Amino acid sequence: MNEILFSIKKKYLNLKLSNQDFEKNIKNFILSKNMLEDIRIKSLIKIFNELSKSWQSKNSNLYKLFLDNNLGYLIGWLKQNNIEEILNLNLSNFEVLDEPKLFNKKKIYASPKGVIVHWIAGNVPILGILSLFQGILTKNKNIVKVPSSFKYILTKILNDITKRTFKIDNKVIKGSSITGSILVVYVDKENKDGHTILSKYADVRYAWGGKEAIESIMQLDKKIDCEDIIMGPKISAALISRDFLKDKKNSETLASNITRDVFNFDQLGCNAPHNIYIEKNSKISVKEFAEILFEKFKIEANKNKLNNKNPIDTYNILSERVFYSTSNKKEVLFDNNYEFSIFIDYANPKHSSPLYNRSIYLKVVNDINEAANYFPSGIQTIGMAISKSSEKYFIKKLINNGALRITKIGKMGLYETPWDGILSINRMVKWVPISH
Amino acid sequence: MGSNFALNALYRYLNFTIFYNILQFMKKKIDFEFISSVFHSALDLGKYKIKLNSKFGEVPDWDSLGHMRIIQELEKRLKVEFDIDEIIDVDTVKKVIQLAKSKVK
Repeated sequence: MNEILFSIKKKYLNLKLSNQDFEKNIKNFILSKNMLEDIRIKSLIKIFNELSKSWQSKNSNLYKLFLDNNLGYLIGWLKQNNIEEILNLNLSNFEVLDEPKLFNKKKIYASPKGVIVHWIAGNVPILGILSLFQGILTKNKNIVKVPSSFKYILTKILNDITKRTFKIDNKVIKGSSITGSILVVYVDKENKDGHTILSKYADVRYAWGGKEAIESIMQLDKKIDCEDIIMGPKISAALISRDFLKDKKNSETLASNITRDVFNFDQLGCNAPHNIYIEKNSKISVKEFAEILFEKFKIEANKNKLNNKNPIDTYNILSERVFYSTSNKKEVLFDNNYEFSIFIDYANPKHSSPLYNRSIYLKVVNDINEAANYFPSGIQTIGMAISKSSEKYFIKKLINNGALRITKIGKMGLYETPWDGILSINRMVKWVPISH
Repeated sequence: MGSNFALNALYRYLNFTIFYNILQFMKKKIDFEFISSVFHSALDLGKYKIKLNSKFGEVPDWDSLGHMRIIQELEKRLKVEFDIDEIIDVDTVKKVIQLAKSKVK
């Protein structure tokens, strides 16, 4: 079965629809006028900025929803300076979305591709919201397939926009002119035909998710020129050279930064570290550092309990704890309520598979320069706290090994542009040269 | 006549320079008191007193959205703009002061 969870046309909302009725609704939506075409990009940017200011206010109806669902990042992302920066990074001159602009003596217009279908993943749904907002900025129509855990959150946000009226540069723009370009749907995981309907009408398929979810989307029928933007499963790691553990103060700062990266969405995002490579023979030993980290994790875990502990994950963590506490050259520090685990490995520097649930491996290496040899391929983010002298060598080596983002420890949890090696907005438009 | 005009112009210039410098001085005075007033405006703290080592999560309403209101208030008062990656690890009052100072040099 399928459901339409948000549409400015209310007729078929929240009804269980057969595939036939669902397809009829999708077709009607595609045929309807796209009112985004009449809104200038500068106005859209100002509207986003206004939403950012309004949603952060304590008087906002959505205040609790944003807090409870970890959506605070969206507030910062929607700010005018951030949006302008992202757009210009993607398009050079964002006004090319309104009219042809000169690029090296050639006039080019960035036209919307048409219909973007977003498959939002259940682990970090905010990323799917960001892809939707990018779809709006590029003036595309957007169909968003939400996971069951996220059914009503996006709907509430869009209903809020629909009710608003924005006064931008003496022009009145109705919120419904923006949300009229959006359809939020739910399709059962098993309903391949429902997903096929979404896929075959898409001009861009924008998919977030694990291996299985992405593979099943890739197998669906699609238009011959459909653009696929795939944010698939990846993992991340971090590196610490011995000079960053030269005293307690530095070690504490570093531990706070690791805590932020690990507790951000409880390691469910592909940018969270699971393995941290540490160079041995530092003034603060690896064991001492692990103890500092333990204290930071404990404070954070007390403030923020782990949601939905899964019995299989808990069993895997328990097994690993037993293995580490009974093996030579391995140690483990943990919380008795399975809020977090810190595994220290002096013997095997090879990357360990993620256990999630705030579990990290501290992999001890003789020389930080050898750590790059142990990374698996397809790594998303590398968080680095390494000496300037090693930095250059590392960055080159990591990029050659396929790393898609290199940042400081403590900032791994940020969503950046480009992401997964992709400038998404650039791929949501058709580049049309005009030389008549 | 000419020298009067020149003196007048010099007088005006000096006045302007003094006024401008006072303004700049006031603008750049970022200390605990200034940041405390930013926190009070942004978070509506009433009689609550923040300390230099007060942390994110400890001060009432200093949550992820309250953080954005503090940043917005800072931006408004200092007439600057912060990038997301500048504000993400600012989790103590002391760090907010450092952040503000880094922007207004």
